[in-house]
Amino acid sequence: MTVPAHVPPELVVDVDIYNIPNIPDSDPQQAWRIFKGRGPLVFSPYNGGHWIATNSADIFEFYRDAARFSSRQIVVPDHPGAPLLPIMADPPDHSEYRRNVMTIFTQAAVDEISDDIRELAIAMIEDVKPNGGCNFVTDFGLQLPLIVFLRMVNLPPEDRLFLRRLIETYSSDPDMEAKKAVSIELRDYLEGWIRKRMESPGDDIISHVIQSKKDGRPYTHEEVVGTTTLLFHAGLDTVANTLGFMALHLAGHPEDRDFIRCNPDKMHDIIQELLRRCTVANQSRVVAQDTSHKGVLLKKGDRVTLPGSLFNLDGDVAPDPDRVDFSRSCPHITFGAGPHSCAGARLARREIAIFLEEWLARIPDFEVDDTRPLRMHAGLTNQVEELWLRWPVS
Amino acid sequence: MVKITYISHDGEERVVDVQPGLSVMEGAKRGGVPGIDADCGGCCACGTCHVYVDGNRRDRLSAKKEDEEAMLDYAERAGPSSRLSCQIKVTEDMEGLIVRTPKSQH
Repeated sequence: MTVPAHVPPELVVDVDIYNIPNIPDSDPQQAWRIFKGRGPLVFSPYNGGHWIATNSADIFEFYRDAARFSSRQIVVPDHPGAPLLPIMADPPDHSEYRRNVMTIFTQAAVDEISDDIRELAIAMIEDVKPNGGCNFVTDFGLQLPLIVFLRMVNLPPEDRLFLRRLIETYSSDPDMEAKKAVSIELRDYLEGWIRKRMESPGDDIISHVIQSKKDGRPYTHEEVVGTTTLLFHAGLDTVANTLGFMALHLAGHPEDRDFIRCNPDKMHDIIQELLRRCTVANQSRVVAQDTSHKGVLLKKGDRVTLPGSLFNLDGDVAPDPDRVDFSRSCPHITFGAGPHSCAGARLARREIAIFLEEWLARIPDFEVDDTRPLRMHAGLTNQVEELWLRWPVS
Repeated sequence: MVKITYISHDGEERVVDVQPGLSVMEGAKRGGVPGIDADCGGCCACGTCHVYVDGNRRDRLSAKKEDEEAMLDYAERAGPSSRLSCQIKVTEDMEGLIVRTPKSQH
């Protein structure tokens, strides 16, 4: 328990963001509301102690204000290891790191792999369809983004479960020792591949990162490791959980499934609204200089968690925010906001569109199998750990 | 206030009175104009507020900076008249500016 002297006791909320209590009949996005009601900034004494912004307008502003809220650290308590790039760099250094990564996700690049992704998704759906049910997380939600990503980096697809375990421990285990252990494992794994690609470069993402430049010089080894590590975190975890939450929503809303099947031309708005409701990431920032916000003193070095879940499910952002309504167009920060908004968003959207189109074309009716466990939790990354679906088989 | 016309990819026109000092993107968002996503919130980091600027007032716009050029490479179907609307600050002399939004920002 850590509460610095400048934190007023009435703003302390005795909740650990890695262990937000489950509320019956609510989901991880809603669970974040436990921090609402005591003002725009509250303080959690766990994970080194950190603020949590609770209003949508503040969350948005803080994500965008890189001068006051540094990305030097983006998770509590700390990211162990080489800084993840570009996300843990601040402007002006950030710009070049980011440009180097964005070239991976151009329109042309995503178009080029879309047929491949679609083929893969169809094969996976056809595989589970005759069984009348599946564990969505392990049979589809995890598999699709992992295999797609491993193809882009040209790594063996059979490594996906090993990598998944590392990423899960990293994002859901608050224990720094556990985080450090998996960070070392991941680093060893990546360094092995970086060495191989330095010897024989290919047309893959790791080779692309190795060839990147900063201020005219080649990337240092730490920059290559930091960039590839971030691409792993981003590619292996976020889409998987997003698909899980979307499948959960659709399982309970037959009218939304019908709407999606009957309105392929509205896919953009459909995906925007599902993204809003299915928030995954809740990052943190570091206060860059002493500042006061709405009467609360934030001291240099203080950590502030900015829950995407509290932005997206704020009534100011979307009236009746827990409801999914494809006829509206509400903002969301599922891909973050500000200079660090998700560089891979285009690929993520494409994967989601392909999932919706191909799954609903083959398994139009399905529900949650309530004879099996449904496990989810709120945290740095909101996660669906186990989700069983079932459907009629003709 | 400055009148700006936003034309969607299928020809639908919306005229919005935008306060000088705001960006063309912010004008669209406040005026409820669809077709501009602005995922990053307006700091030239995502390329999802891409618009095509009609010739009539193009000379009133400030020149593109290096960051915007780089981000336009990432934007969908960018051409010579392409700009990121978050980087166009509205000034009084832009009255009558016409921008066209692309079919998709993603």
